[in-house]
Amino acid sequence: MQELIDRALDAAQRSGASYADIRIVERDGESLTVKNGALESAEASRTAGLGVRLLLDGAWGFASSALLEPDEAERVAREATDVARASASARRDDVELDDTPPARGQYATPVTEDPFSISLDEKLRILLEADREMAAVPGVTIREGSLDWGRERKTFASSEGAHTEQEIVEAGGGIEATAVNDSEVQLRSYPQGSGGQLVTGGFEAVRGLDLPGNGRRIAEEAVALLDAPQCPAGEMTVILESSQLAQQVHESCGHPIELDRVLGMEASFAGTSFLTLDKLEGFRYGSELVNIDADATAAGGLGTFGWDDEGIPAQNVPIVSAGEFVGYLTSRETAPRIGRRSMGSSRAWGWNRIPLIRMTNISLRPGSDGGLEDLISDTSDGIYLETNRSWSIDDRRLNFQFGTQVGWLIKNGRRTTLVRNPTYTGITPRFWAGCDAIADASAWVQWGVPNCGKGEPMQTGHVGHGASPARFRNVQVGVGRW
Amino acid sequence: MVNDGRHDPEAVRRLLARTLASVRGGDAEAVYMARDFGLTRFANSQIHQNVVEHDATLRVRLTDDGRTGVASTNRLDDEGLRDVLGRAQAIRDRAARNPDGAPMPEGIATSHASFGSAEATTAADPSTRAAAARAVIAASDGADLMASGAFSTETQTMGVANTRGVERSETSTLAKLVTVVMDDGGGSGYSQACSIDVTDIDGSLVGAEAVDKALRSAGASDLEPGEYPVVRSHRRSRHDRFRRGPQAPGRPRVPRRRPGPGARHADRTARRHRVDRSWSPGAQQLGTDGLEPVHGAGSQLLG
Repeated sequence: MQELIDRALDAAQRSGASYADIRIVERDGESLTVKNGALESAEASRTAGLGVRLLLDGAWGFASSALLEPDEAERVAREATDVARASASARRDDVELDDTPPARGQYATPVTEDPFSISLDEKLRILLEADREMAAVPGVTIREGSLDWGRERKTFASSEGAHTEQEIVEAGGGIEATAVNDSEVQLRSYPQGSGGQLVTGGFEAVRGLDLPGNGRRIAEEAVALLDAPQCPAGEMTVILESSQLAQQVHESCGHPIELDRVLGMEASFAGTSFLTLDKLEGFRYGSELVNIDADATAAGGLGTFGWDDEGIPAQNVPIVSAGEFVGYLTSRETAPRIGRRSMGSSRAWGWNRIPLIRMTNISLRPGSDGGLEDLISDTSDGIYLETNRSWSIDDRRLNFQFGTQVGWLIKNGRRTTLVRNPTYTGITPRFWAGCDAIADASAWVQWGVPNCGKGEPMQTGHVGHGASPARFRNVQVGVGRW
Repeated sequence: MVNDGRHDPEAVRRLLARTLASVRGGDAEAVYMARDFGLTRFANSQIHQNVVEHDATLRVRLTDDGRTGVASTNRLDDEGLRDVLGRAQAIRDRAARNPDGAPMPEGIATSHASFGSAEATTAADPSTRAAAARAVIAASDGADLMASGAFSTETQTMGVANTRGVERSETSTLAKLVTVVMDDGGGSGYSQACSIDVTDIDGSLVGAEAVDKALRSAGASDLEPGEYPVVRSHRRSRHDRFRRGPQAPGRPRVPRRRPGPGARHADRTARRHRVDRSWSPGAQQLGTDGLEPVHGAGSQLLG
């Protein structure tokens, strides 16, 4: 390992690089899927390689290879040099990195049960038990369940003297019941949509989900939705369940605070951000109840680590404080543009990708308004929306639309009618300005989002969002035509 | 940029054969995928990200009596092969029988196909891509606009073989240049060129196209939601530089690019001036620069 590092960094410096780093990454992943009582797929993947990134003549170059051999490490470094020279031919401003001291150390995700040590039989048992619970409900058309687990071992070293070693372990799963009739396809997922819940941690996280214990409930709700009335349209008071609120945070806060997006670096692919530099420390993002932070130290978060892929230590920084926008996600290249040091959010998806600014755990801090049932009992007229089904947001992350799997009308402090196909829409700062109640820490959950797409070539980031249910006033619900 | 060994048909055939020969019991399928990829991104009228990647992956699927195990690796030496087969076999042997599992396809061995590739694309290096980026930037500079975009070149080889006689491999290349140029007032123009042959792509033409559109959209006002008659641009894709590969029963389905008439035999001179341009006129009128927001449901990427 050390020979790979030395050969790459020496070659980079001999080529005239003013800065160079190398990441050596090995990733194992396994997944298991059960559908309608039978094993649908079981798959194991393994990938390993190294990536060398360097600065030459003020411009970046990056090259990567799957061959973990000293000669190849040196060749990759020389290739990165050629890439940087090409970059410098169309460069107007030299890249300058912040002055963060180089990091050294080791980090490992706390794990009680290594998910790779749990037998396939035991994993199947959990999924098949959940499947039987869903199958007990007449009218369910498709029953699905899946478990995923992975381990990434990563070594980072830089020409500045940084050297970190990390082992990140992830585990999770979910179940889904789909009911179909002549005109409707309705589904319910647990614990959340898009494949379930994923956290950093061991197999104890999977056991804690209690998938079998929730199979029958979601199956019953999927069937009930077939005959439920259509969600009404109009301006309403909305209570969002925790995992849906996590999706809301992801799209309307997580993406617009990425400083590379703000600076136009993603403009041709995924757009920019409404949170322009002039809005930092002064723009009212939401009501005074809204406190959002980026916490890479949160237990179990998919955005939890020891150091980011530039060697910046994990930290917790405020993003929205009492409703005011106060912080961006930054890298060593972008942070100086706002007069700061990197807060450690530069991460790459694998050995063959460059670090980009990615969310860590962007979380809405809990409030003091009791639990979910307290929010509902305190609402005279509104709607409660649960579990994401679809999302859409514009290229400035300002105008959003979400669909959820299920909704319940609220009348006089009580859940009443189940409604199908609920949707809501809004403009980000107006929506958050309408937040007038947030449930307390007892209802706060750290959710994992394993499918955050960004960059070219595409990188699939694993990020986290903590949230407890919250209430929003004057939200446009439904589309009115069904 | 490209390590020929990763794309050598004979080396691919030997790797697949060696993999299948090591399988004990049941049927097996081995799929090889090698990729040499380079991408140059530019934004704010300068190159800001520039990467190259070399990788090759082997995926094996083992079946026996209704049980299936799948594993993949990018370590292709003897130890890597033993490891990936061991993991696939461990999954297969512990898996429950699935009577609805996909059967192993039957077929015959065929020769390596490479008609969808161009040597110039394989030989493209960072300076090739940077030159095109500079041409786009120069076009936008001339109109006092800001350019962003990406230029990628890649060579990909895929091989598949199984214990039922299937044995095929194919090498393809792709070059793609995309740009969006913008002014400070919300005007923007989009242009794109794609080809199997990087020499088909002229950065100056792509840049000029985007600049022309940006200038024509300058001063555009917001379009309020409502019902409107829609007139689509009369211009269509003028060039498709892709080929259709064999699609025999059992061949793994991979994303296919729509072939253009005569693409394989087009006159070389003409090809240099026929560049694919794709537009999204509806989206542009809405002021989204031809970009459609990422949205969807299920296990899609979050935008």
